[in-house]
Amino acid sequence: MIFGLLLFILFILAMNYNNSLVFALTFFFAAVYLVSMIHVHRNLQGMLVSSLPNADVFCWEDAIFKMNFQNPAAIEKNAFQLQLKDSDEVSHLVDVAPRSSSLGEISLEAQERGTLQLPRFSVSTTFPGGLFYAWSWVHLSDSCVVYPKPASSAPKPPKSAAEEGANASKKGVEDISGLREYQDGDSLKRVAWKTLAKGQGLKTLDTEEPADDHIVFDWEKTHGDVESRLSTICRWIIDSEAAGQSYGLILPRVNIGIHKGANHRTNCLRALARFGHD
Amino acid sequence: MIKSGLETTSAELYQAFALLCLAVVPIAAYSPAWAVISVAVLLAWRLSIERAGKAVPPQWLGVVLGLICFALVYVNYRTLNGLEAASPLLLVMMGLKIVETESKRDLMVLMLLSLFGMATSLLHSQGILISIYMVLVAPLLLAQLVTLSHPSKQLGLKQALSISSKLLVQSLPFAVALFFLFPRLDGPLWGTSQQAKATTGMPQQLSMGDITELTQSPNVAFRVQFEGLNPRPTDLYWRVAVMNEFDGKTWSRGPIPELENRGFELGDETLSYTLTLEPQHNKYVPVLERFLPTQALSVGGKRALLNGNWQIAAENNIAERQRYTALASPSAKIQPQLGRLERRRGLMYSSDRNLKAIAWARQLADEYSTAEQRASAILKQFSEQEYHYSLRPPPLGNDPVDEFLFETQKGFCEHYASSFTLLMRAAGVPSRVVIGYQGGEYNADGDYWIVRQLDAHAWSEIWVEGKGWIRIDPTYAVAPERVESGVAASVLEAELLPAAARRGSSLFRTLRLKWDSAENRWNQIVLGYGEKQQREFLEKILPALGKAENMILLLTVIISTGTLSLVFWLAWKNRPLPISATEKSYRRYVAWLSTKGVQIGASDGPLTVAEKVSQRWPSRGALAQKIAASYIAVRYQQLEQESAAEISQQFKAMQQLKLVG
Repeated sequence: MIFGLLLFILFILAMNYNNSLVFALTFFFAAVYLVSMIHVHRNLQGMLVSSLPNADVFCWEDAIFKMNFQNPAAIEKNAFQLQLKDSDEVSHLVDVAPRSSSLGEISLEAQERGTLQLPRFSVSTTFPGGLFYAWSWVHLSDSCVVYPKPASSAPKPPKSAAEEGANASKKGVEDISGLREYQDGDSLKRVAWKTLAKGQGLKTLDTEEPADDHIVFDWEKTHGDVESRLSTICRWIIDSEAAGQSYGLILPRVNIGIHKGANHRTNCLRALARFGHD
Repeated sequence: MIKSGLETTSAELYQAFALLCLAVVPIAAYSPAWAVISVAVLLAWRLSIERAGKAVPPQWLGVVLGLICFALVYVNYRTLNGLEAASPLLLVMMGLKIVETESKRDLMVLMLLSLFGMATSLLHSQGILISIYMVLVAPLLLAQLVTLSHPSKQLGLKQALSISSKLLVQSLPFAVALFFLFPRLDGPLWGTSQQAKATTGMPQQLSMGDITELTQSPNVAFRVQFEGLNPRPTDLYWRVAVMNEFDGKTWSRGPIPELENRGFELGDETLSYTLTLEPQHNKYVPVLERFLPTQALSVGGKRALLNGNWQIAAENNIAERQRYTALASPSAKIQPQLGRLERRRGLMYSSDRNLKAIAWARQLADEYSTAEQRASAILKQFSEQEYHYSLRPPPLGNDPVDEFLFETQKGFCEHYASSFTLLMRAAGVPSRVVIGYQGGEYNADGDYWIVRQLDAHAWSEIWVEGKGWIRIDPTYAVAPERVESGVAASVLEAELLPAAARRGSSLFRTLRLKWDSAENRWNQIVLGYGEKQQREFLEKILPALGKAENMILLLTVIISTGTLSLVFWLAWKNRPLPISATEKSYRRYVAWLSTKGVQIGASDGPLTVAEKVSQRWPSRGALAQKIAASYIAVRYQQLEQESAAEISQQFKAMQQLKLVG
C-alpha cells in the first residue's frame, strides 16, 4: 500500500534527522493506519446478502439483479462496492443503517437467450479512511430469464388451423374454446364447476374475448433458423399484447391457450426463452 | 452502473482544494516565490476548468509541464535531492496533480502528498506555531480521507468529523505508546548531505566587514541557561572559531593540527550551562570561553572534540536544533606551556603588507619587554587616540591594517581584533583571532540568555609565558559599552540595527521576550526526547526498560493488547441484535401465512403483508392491519413490551377465524 510506504519514508526521515515532531506525525498516522484496518474489516463483517426477484429481460438488454443487503448490527455500515468478477464496472451500495436493509443491484448484459445466472461478485469496502480494502466473494444462485430479442420487423403472423376452427363457432359458455386454465386470482364465480365435476380439472370461463380478434402463433408456420423464428414470434407476441389482441402460442411440446394480459405475455415469452433449454 | 474511477463532484473538489491550501501553507513558506506562484496558477486553472465544466487537460501536457518544473528546481538548487529542493519539488508535483485531478483517487494522492509536505516542513522548523498548525491540520486531513473513502455520496462535514474523531481517539493510545517506547537512535542514518544553506551565520573566514554584516541578522544563534548565578556580560564570551592564518587582508583557520598540548589548570570556580543551539549548517559548536577539556560533549549524535586551535567542532553539520550542557572555568589557565610548532604558528604573518603596522609593532617590542606591556600600549593607543567604533567604516585597500590604524581609525570589532593580533604577532607574542558571540539578551522570563547573530564578535588572544592564552578584547578599549550592553549601545549608527538589538524597555520588547520564552520552553520539550533522554525517562519507570529490546517488547505487548481489545470491542458493537419476542411472534405469523398459501416475499414490509392477507381473506383484513401496526410500533418506534403480547394475541385470533369461501 502506498500509504504504508509513505509512512515508512517519513519514519526514516524522522530517524535520520532525529526530529520529534516528524516522529509524532508518523506515529499518529501509523496508529490511524492500524485502527482503520480494524474498522474497515468491521464495516464488511456480518452483512447478509440475499437475492430478490428480478425482472425478465430481452436478449442484449442489461439484466438487473437486485439484492437485499441486510445489516443486523447496531452500527451503520457504509460505502460498499459491488463488482462482477471479470468486469471493471462497479456499482455502489451506499449505506445500510443499523438493523435495516438496503437495495443493491448489479447489471449484466444478457447475451444469450435462456437463463442468465448471476456470476460470483465481490462486495468490498474501503470505508472508513480509504487506507485498507476489505472484500468478500458472494455466490448467489440468482438467475434471470432472458427472452429472445424481438425481431425488428416481422411479416404478419399467419392464421393457424386451430384459429380457423375457433372463429367459426363462437357459441356460448360451454364452448371448449371458452375455457382456460384456472389462474390464481380468477374470481371463483367464473370457475367452470361442471367441467371440474367432469374431472377435467379446474378451469375458468372465458367469455369476454372478442372472438374475431385472436390469433395463434404457430412454430410450424415460421421459417428460418431457430433463433430468428423465436425472434419473430417474440415480436408478434409483443405487438399483439400492445394492440390488445388475444393470442396463443404453439411450439413443439408447448401449447398455451389464447388469452391476453401481462401474465399471459410473460408465460409466452418465457416459453420462448426456455425453448430448447429444457 | 457507475464506472469505477469514482469521479468527484464539484463540491467535493472545492472542499478538498480548500483543505489542500490550508495544508500547503508551511510547505509554501519554505519554497521560493516562483514555486508558490506556479501552484497558485495551476490551482486557478483547475478551478476554472471545473467551473466551465470542461475536461481535464491530457496527460502528456502534465508530463511536459512536469519536466519543465523539475528543470527549474534543478537549476535553482543544483540537485533534485536534499531538504532544500524538497519543498518546491513537492509544491510543483502537487500543482501538476491538481491540474489532472478527476477522481477521488487523485484527491487521495493529493492528500498523501500534502501529508508528506507537512512532514518536510517539520524538518525545517519545530517551533510552536508549526506544531499547533500540525495538530489542527492532521485531524482535518483524516476527515478528508474518510470523506474520500465514500464512493458515491458526499459525506457531510459533521459526519466525516465525527467518524474521524472516533478513529483519532482510538489511535491516540497507540501513537503515544509508539512515541515514547519506540527506541530512538541518535545520529543520522546517512551522512547528512546538507548543501550549504544560504543563511547568515559565523563565516568560515574573517574578512573585514564579515562581522559587521552579521549585525543585520536578528536570527537567534542559540539560547543558554546557566546553573546558579548568571555571569556578568563582560564574561560572556562565546568561542566559536579560531583564526590562525593571516594573509594581510583575511584571517582563516588554516590547517588545524591535532591537539598535542592539553595543558589546562582549573580555576577557582566552574560554571555549568545548557546551551540550545539553532541549526547552523556548519560544524561550529559555541562554548563559553575557558572550556573544560575533560568533558565529553555530544552534539548531533556524535562526539564534539577539542581541536588544535582549542576550539570545539562537531563531526557533522548541525542541521537540527541541538542541546548540550558544558562546563567552563573563567579563571582557568589554558596551555601554560606552548609547543614549538604551536608557538611558531601563532607568530606567522605576511611581511608583504601592512609594513607600517609591522614597523610600529617592532618598536613596541623594543620598548616593552613583556607581552602584557606591549598589549597595553596598543590598547592605550586605541582608547586615547581618535578611534571610533562604527558599523559603516570607510573601505580599506591593500594594506587594510595600516589604513585602519593610521588613516581611517574607524572600524568594527573585526578591524580592531585583526589589527591588534597582527601587531602582537609582529611584536613577537603568539596570538590569534577568535570569532564568536559576546553578550546576549537576558530574558528574565525563563532565566536564560538569547544570543543572536547580531551579537557576533571578534576578539584576540595572546599567549603569555606561565599564564597560557589570555583573552584581549580591543573593542573594550574603544567602546566598552559594546561588551557591557551590546551592539546597539555602542555604535553611532544604532538605527541601522534590527529591532531585536535594542535592549531598552518597551511593551514590544516585553512581548517579544515572552514569546521567545514560550518558544524556548517548547523547544526544550520537543528536544527532550533523544536517545539519552528516552533511556533515562524509561529507566525511571522501569529499570529494565533502558534497553532497546525491552522497549520493543513492551511496545509489542501494548500494541497487540490494544489491537485485540479494539477488535473485540468493535465485534461486540457489530453483533447481530437479538431477535426480540415481538420479532419472533411476527416471524411465526409470516411463516404460518406462507403455509396457508399467502405468498410473502423477503422484501415485503408489514403493510404489504397485511394487504396480501386482506386480498386473500377479506374478513381477516382488519386483524392483519392491527398486527402490522403493532409490529411497526415495535420496530420503528421502540414500544416493546405491550406490543409483543398484542401480536401474539392477534395472531391467535386470526388462526382461529375460520377460512371463508
